[in-house]
Amino acid sequence: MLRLFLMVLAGLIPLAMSGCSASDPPPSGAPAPPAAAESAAGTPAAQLPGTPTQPVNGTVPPALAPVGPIPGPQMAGADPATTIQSPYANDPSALEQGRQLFVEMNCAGCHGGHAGGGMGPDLRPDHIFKYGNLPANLFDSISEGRAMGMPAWGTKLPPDVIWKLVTYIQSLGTQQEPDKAAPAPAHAPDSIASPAY
Amino acid sequence: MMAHDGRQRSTRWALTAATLTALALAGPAAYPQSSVSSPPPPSAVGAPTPKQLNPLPAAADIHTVAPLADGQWTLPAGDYANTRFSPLKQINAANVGGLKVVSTMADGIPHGWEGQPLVVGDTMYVVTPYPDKLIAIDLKAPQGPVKWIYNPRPDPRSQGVACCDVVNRGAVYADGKIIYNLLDVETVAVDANTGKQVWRTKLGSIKNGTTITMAPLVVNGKVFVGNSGNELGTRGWITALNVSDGSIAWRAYSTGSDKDCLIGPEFKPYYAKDRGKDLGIKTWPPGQWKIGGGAVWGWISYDPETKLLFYGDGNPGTWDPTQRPGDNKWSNTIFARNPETGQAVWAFQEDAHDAWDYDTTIENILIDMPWHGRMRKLLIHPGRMGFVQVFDRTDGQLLSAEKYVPVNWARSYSLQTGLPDEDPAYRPHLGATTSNICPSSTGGKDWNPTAFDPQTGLLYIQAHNVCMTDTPHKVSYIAGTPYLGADVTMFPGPGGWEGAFIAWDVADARPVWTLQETKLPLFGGVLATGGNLVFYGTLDGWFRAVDARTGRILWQFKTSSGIVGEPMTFVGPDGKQYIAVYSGVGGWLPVAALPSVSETDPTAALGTVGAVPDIKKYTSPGGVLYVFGL
Repeated sequence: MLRLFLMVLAGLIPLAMSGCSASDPPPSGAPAPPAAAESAAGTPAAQLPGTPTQPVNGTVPPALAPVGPIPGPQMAGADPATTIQSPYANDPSALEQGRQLFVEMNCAGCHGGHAGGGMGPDLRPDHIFKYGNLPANLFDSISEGRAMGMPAWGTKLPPDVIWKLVTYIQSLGTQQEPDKAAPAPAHAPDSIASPAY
Repeated sequence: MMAHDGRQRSTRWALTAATLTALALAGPAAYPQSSVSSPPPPSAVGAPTPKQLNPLPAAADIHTVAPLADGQWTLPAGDYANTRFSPLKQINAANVGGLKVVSTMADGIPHGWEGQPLVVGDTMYVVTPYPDKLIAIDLKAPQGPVKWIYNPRPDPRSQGVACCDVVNRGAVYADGKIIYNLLDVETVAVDANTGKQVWRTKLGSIKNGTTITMAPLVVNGKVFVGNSGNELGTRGWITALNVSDGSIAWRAYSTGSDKDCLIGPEFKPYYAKDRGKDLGIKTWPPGQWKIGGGAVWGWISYDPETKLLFYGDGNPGTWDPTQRPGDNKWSNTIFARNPETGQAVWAFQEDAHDAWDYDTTIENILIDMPWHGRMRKLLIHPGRMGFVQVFDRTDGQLLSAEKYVPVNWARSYSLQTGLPDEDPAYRPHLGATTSNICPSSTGGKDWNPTAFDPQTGLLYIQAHNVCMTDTPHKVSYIAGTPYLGADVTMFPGPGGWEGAFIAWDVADARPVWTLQETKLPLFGGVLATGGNLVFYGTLDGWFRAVDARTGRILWQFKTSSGIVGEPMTFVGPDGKQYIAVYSGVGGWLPVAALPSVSETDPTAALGTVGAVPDIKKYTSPGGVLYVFGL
């Protein structure tokens, strides 16, 4: 678990030092461009989801450069948000890594040990997502942050890591959900002394 | 409408300790009593019946140490001593059956409505959960129209940094100002007449996981404020600001050097365990104290006689104790300080190297009463760790510590050393899962304050019975995110009850009677009054009046949401007594009632969901102020 976290941190360093120009190769370990995004991205100017971009006029410190543009309706095409899939969909090892990242990047602290919510909202499938729960919506929410206090992780995490988190969130409540929560006991054993209340 | 003068009223209700003592000595005959054998009033059908466990304590010479809430309610707990007792008795055990709603005000903010309104003169002041609005209500007109609303517009990102719902525990009145704290680490003073902001002071940053939720206290021109954020790696502090202009007079950190903690020549802890130089640094791994917690998010007490300020601070971070070997001072510590300078006078750390999140921020009630034959100045601490402790507040000597809920993390406290006798089987550590720890992190009770009735000598506790499984894990500090390091699942404790309203005999350190809740825990505050009544609310929204001596429920009313607020009482401009309380479920454990939390994840909301998996059946959020009268 810790090793994975260190790998993520190590991944951040070249990202930060590269200046995040559009011509840079994707960070080590980043996925191949998702086919759905490619076909949906329509215009030549449109970039692939999560491709690093050039800071405007150099005003953005490299270490804080966003990983966007991120997928969304502005990406042209009919409604690309509905068609973009996580590049890791159906990848069991990415799913496991997504779960580990969810714990190690402290997502669990806000959103609950198994994403049932707390400080941050419930991410399980019974919840209505204010900003949508399509893969592209989830990527946006993680990358850009949200007004209620969700940090903009796009400034800290490379796109492949965000996609793994998206993949994990999509698995919640399905057969594929890794490391499912153990049910809570109905109550503590009566062998523990209780006042006669 | 009767002309009203807060001052006259103040005189009218001012009771000296001697008067009170006389009342207390007069015994039950002095108060309207209901017969225990009569059937329950129609409104109380279906409510629990009291279980008598021990006889009432013998009448005792109990002295209050600070002026009581005398018709107005200007301090968070009504008085400096945190008794939450008002001598008002127009509403009493004989007539409370006729109590009715006289006014309501829905704000509707769907978060925990912790705290209590203030009443100053003819105006009631309500502080809402985030966005922390201050609403002034005119009590001269029936149904209380709004005079003005002060909207401070705190940084919305603070919502994402608040560990346990976006709550606010209320304001304090001083010098013509209503003073309270904002979630985004600010303190504001608002002109009590006009609603205009007088000053606004930034005390920290949400970027390192700091927020403020507590109600401040004012003593002699200084307002005392503490931070929140132990679950996000904050560094705890209490700060004194000058009431006149909001400038900072002093700040005492809970971790770091003696200089930072305002520990100097005046500091004389009673026990050896709390003595040593720079313990706020030396009892931590290098640098860990900088993100070590100890936030001061609970209630503050003040004793005008000894001129000491009392408060407890919170848990050390992270929840994984293995990452922070050492005593982790001064987390989970009760401090006595000089309010003028902030200098510490004594300290008592409840559990060194805490492994359970047993914050010591719980209220401290100050009372003078006979203790084993001689009059003593007491500090009563009904702790989250499951013991009611009694201290000598002049020097920090522990006089008693008795369990009030199922507890197995410790067998007892030593009065000689001040140390708990821990059971290592229930101490979590990295690499293991520790099951059936009682109580859970939420404690035998949490921040929700008790009330002490000097007439009965009873402390009224809203307890809950929840245990937990705890699996610590490694966690890395990422500023502004949770710094937890443990998977916790909570669940109901043993014995078949989830909550208990306990009348606790302080002198004999034992319960006298209890009212048991079997569906849900209790998580709101208590008010005791001179009318031989105690008021409290339940998580499924019942607001109750109970006979202070027998525990018999004399009246109840179903409010619109679960009650986590604190009842208060006041005399209106018409000379009549009223009772007010917020209904609006939320906060840490009850946050499972909110739609943003799933009942399918028992670890959600820091592990509390498993304790109340079906809470949504009984209550849903939405804040309403209720005012009751005869």
